[in-house]
Parts: sequence; C-alpha cells; structure tokens
Amino acid sequence: MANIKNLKAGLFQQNPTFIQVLGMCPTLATTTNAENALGMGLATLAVLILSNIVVSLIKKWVPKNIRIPIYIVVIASFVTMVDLLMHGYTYDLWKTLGLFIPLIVVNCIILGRAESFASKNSVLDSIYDALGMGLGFTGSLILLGSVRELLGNGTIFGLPIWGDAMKLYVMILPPGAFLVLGMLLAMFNSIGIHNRNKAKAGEKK
Amino acid sequence: MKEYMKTGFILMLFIVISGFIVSLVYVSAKPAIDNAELQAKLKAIKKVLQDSRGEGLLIAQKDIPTSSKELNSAIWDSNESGVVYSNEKSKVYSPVYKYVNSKGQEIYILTVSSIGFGGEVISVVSFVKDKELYFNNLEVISYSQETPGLGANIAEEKVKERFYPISYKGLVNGVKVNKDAGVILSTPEQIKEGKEKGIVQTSDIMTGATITPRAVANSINVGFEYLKSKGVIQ
Repeated sequence: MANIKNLKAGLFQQNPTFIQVLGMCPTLATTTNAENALGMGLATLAVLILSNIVVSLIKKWVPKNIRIPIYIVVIASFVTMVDLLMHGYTYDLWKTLGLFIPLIVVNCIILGRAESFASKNSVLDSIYDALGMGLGFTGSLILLGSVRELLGNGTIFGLPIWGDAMKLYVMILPPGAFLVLGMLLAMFNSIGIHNRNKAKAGEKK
Repeated sequence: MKEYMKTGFILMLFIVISGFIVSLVYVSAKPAIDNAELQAKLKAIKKVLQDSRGEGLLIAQKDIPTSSKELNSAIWDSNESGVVYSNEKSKVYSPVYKYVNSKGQEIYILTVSSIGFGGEVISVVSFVKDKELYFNNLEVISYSQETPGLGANIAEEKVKERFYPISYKGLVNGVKVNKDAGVILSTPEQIKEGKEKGIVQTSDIMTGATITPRAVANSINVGFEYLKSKGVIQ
C-alpha cells in the first residue's frame, strides 16, 4: 500500500515538474514536440529507476561525506550506458535528443531522489518511488510537448489535429516553452489549492 | 590521514567498478552503434543516387553499397583531418565518394554542412558530371538543433525536392533561397525555371524559416566550390 502511495505521490501530489518545479532545463528544452518529450522522459525514467536501485543497494557502504560524488558517479554511469544503447538501437531518437541525453546526469530530480529517498529506503520502495517520479516527469513532458506541438504545429506525435488552421509558431520557440509551462503550472496549482480547500472544508464538517 | 585514505579508496573503488561496467556496455553496444551509423549513411547515399532528372537510380542496383567495404571502395578523396574543403560558412567532410555508371556519368557524393539556426545542418549531396555538371540530389542527415515545425521541416521530402536538380548555370550563379534572391516563384514552371538559375523556392513551404534552407543552399555551393577546386570542372 505504501508503495502505491509512493507511486501516486510522484505522479500527482509531488509531481516533479508541476509541483516541485525540478528538472526545468530538459523540460523547457526538449518539449518542442511530443515525440522528443516522450524520448527524454523514458530515458530519464530508465536512469532514475536504475540509479535508485543501485543507490538503495549500496547505501550501507557509502560514507556520508562522499555520498554525493558517489551518487553522481552512479548516475553518470547509467546515463552513459543509456546514451550508448540509444545510439546503437534508437539511432533517430538519439540524434534528435542530442546533447540532452548526457545532460540527464545533472537533472536534479535524479540526484534529488537518490539523496532524499533511495539512500534511506529499501530497494522495492525506491523502485516505486523512481517509477512514480519518472512517470510523473515523463507525463509532464508529454503534456507540455503535446500542447506546444498542437498550438505551434497543429499536430500531436506528428499526427495532424487541425492541420494548418492555426499555427502559433511562438509555441515551439523558447518563449512558448515558458508560456505553456506557466499556464500548466497555474492550472496544476489551482487544482491543488481547490483540492486542499475541499479537504479542509470536509474536515470542518 | 587514515580516514582520508579510506574515503579516497572507497571513492576510487566505486569509480573503477562503474568504469568497468560502462566499458562492458560500450564493448557490447559498439557493433550496434557502428551498424546504426553505417545504415544511416548507406540510406542517405542510396537516396542521393536516385536520378532527379530521370527515373530510378543513377547506378545499377547491384552497385549500391550495402556494406562498409563496398562503400570504402568508392572513396575518391579523403584526409585525416576529416574536412577536405571549407569556406567561412560551410564544410565538405572526408571521405568523398565517386561512382561511374554505364552511361559514363561521373557521380560525386559529398557530405557537406553549413550553419543553420541552432547549429550545423549536415547533408549528403550528389553531383553528376554528364556533359555538364549538375546538382542531382540531397538528403539532410543532421538537423537536430533546428526548430521543430520551422527549420526542422527541412527534412520533409517536399522541401528537399525544391533543391534539386540544379543545372550547371544555377551552380555557377550560386544557389540561393528565393528570399535572398528577392523573388517569389509561385507556379511549378517558375520553380523549375528558378532552379535553372540557382534560385530555390522555399518561402511557401518553410514559412518563417529562412536560415535552415539557406544553410542547405550554402552546403550545395561549398560542394560545387570543392569540385571546382579538385578540377572536376574545367
């Protein structure tokens, strides 16, 4: 039950993008379309799960004063592996995501979960936490990428939705990333406030 | 002191183990990486060997390279620096391939690049020396830094088709996009005539993106300059 709670927390209540506002660099840079967003999200998810497992496994042998360098080594190793495997087996996606794959190393969500969760919890709990956070991050990226692609190009995952009827090119340019992210942040926070108020009202009754 | 040594040793141990595992993954992924790179190159070469002035391929199907050995046998020019020719805007990468078909046409295949909106736009291009040299075909192989929906549309077939074939006269004039030439070519006949003069109509199918098609035009120009420098054109 606690595992499911961890999973759901990452997806909604503690969503890394819209609630914790973490990992903004890849969020803003790779969400020019839904396909890139999905690729980046899945690559991050894989690294997050693997690093959480290893950090949880080695937690007893890691001296406290060098834990951060060791976590970075673990994360960088997995990112390099994912980069090599994507290069070999998903060549087109690897070319599209380019520099952003190596940059997963410095994604604060991964280091954040290693430090705040995996280093203090069991392997199974850490896997559920990574799944929740990773899927929450992937979902956020896909949502952002889909909205930007739809408004900017009239398509989602390359499939025409309204074609050339409306194309706001600014949405696929860097300012569009900030605009759409701002709107989605406002929407998620508004839902969060509404739910909290509802819960409070329920408690008073 | 002892504590520092212990800490350093533990850190080193983690780094060595991680390095060993990464090297294992590298060794196992290397054949797949080499194959993916080769397949992408072969696909691009097959595309540019399609005859843009006629039907089918410029060389016999059996002569289309399918392995790195076959491809290497067609190398015409190469150097160790990786760049065989460059100007201030563009580069021609090593190696350059050459095929001669049954009609006696010489086909030169070059990997060229120029700077687009976000970085290098790399293309594989082919020039054919018949009675006169002409630009035959193009495949854009790297454009990942171009803006999706704008510059990245350069990879669409309908956009690439606008760049070929370009006659010798057009190459001598210098290939440019219609915006730089200050004209708009609206009918298929005008677009075809434009290519004879070296003017490529892109503003209608790449609205809002001028820099990326300009980079491709510059890439074609550097390829022509290179062939001229090598004495292919007297």
